[in-house]
Amino acid sequence: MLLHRLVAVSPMLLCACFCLVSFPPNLLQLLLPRVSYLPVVTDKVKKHFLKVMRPEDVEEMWFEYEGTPLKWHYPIGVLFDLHASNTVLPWNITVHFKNFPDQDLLHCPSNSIVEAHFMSSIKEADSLKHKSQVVNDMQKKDHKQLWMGLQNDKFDQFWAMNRKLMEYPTEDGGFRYIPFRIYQTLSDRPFIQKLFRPVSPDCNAHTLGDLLKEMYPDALTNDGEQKRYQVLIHGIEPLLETPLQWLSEHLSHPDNFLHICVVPVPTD
Amino acid sequence: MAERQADCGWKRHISDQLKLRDRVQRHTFEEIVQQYNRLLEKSDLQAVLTERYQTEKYDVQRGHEASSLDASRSDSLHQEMSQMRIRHQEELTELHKKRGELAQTVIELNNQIQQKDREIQSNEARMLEYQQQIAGLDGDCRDLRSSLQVRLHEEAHDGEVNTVRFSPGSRLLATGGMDRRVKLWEVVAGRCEAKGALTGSNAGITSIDFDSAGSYLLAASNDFASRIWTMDDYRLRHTLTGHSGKVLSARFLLDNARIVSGSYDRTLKLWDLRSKVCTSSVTPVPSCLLTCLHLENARNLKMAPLMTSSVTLHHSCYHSHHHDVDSVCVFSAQGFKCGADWTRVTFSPDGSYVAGGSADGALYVWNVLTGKLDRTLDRNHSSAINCVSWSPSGTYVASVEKGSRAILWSDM
Repeated sequence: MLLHRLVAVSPMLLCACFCLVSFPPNLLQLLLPRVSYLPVVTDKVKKHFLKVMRPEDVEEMWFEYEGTPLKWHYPIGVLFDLHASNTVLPWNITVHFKNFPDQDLLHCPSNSIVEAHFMSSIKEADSLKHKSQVVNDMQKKDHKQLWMGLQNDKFDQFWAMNRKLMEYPTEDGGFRYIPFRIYQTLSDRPFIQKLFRPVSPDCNAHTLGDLLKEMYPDALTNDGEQKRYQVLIHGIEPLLETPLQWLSEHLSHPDNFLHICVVPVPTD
Repeated sequence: MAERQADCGWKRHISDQLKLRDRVQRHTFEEIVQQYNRLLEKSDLQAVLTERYQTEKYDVQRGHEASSLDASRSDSLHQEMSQMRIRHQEELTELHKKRGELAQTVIELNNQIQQKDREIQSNEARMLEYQQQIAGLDGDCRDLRSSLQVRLHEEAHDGEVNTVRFSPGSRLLATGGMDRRVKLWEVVAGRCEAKGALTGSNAGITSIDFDSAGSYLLAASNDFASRIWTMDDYRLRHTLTGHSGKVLSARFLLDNARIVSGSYDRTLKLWDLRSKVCTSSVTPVPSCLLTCLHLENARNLKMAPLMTSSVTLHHSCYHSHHHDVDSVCVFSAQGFKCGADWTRVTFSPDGSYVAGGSADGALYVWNVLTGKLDRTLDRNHSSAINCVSWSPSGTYVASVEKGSRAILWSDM
């Protein structure tokens, strides 16, 4: 549980320096939580900049970093690890209020869209873990509690419900399949997501290394080679022998997925 | 064991990595971000305040002038500002003073309110006392009234009842009215039972008298005559004629052998019963009308209620054709008015009270010794009382009224 707290509660620092494209420079510094989503935590941004802009200039708000529009439906931590894990902090991202890039980003007019996306991730994860039994047994108010716990940064409220999603029958030794996504920077594919069991047929626990060997063998360093890639979860590199079941239980994001970022090792 | 160690190995690695990450990515910047945000808020607040201040105090023109950086202008600006500051200070001290005064007034008013409250409380307490007293007195009144029993007789006569008289034995009551009859009633245990009627008169009865034995009844009538009946058989025995006007009053003298009658023709006639003739005739009082004769001992005490609101007690001595009329004392009361020329009043048997009926139907009782009104008995007669009689036993008073009602009062 101690680890849970470390991961879920501690926000990552994102210092965002926002520059308006056509206005005098305006800065805002924020600490954003890793586990949340951009539209949920950036109300303050909107309010701040609306004060200095003309109302007719304001359309939908969107963020970009070094020319890449940031997908709001990824958790903030994932975005950071993927784009800027080895850059100097603070992480400067730019906010725009015009010219929404329809090809690259989904529209997000309100927080209820984020809530819908979040809940659908949870349900997808549970369908992999428990054939959707646990999430379907929950009542609507329990689902609401999960979302509210995330939105309002209430650790205990969230985990009261999330506990149920992390249980499994002891004879199975783990979940049915592990919900995970592997993000890569250098590929056009959005992410890798496949079925993978936590326990091998001969009852050995699968490790992180086993998963990578199966799904993304390039990420692993062969003997004798230089390390080319970093495998990041929540901004840290766990050892490859860490059991996958444990990782899924303890290092998943609030949407119950294990988001793994594979980034190239910095060259300088 | 190795597995355990390996377990701890990767777990420890993860926890170390997380702590490192936090240190690098969070703690170093947390402080700065907080301070920065605070500064931001303050500058926002500052901007809002200065904007408000400027729009209130200066116009846009003023703002433009200030930005022109003229030294003298900025001096005068300073002066104005300091003047305004002084004025505001003065206003402030004024307001403080006023506030102190108002607070003082509030305290005083509060005290007054408390005082008034106390007064109200004491008044209420007194009122409560009085109400209790009143309740007590009401109770007493009711007791008295209930002890004063009243026996009514509606329609004692057909028409006005002019006169009433108790028999000497207090057992019989005789009433006479405009229906030319004398009705007799027996008074038993506070009730009146009709016994009979005496006929023979040709006009209304004005006055009734019993002889001292109660065996004869004398009635004076408007037909200018007086008549005598015997009480055993209710038969008319004698008729005494001779007056030239209505006989207003007739009485037995103490020896029961003579009768004196007073009439509207302003004469007093003395009759002898054995010979049944008028033995003498006197004209005593030129101006006043003889309305009532009351004999006491050897003297004639006439009580002549004049048509005023008082009863005058006349003392007159009747002997040998002359008399003196002195007014002995005057009884009056508010509301007492004679109902008619022949309204009667009566002494109580012991002579200590005088009872008279008034035009408004109330019976007034005066104390002879003090001359003051003792009691007022109203609410039983509905019209003017014509005559009152006190029973010789003293227990009953009978009063009759114009409206043909006769009332017997007990426990007098």
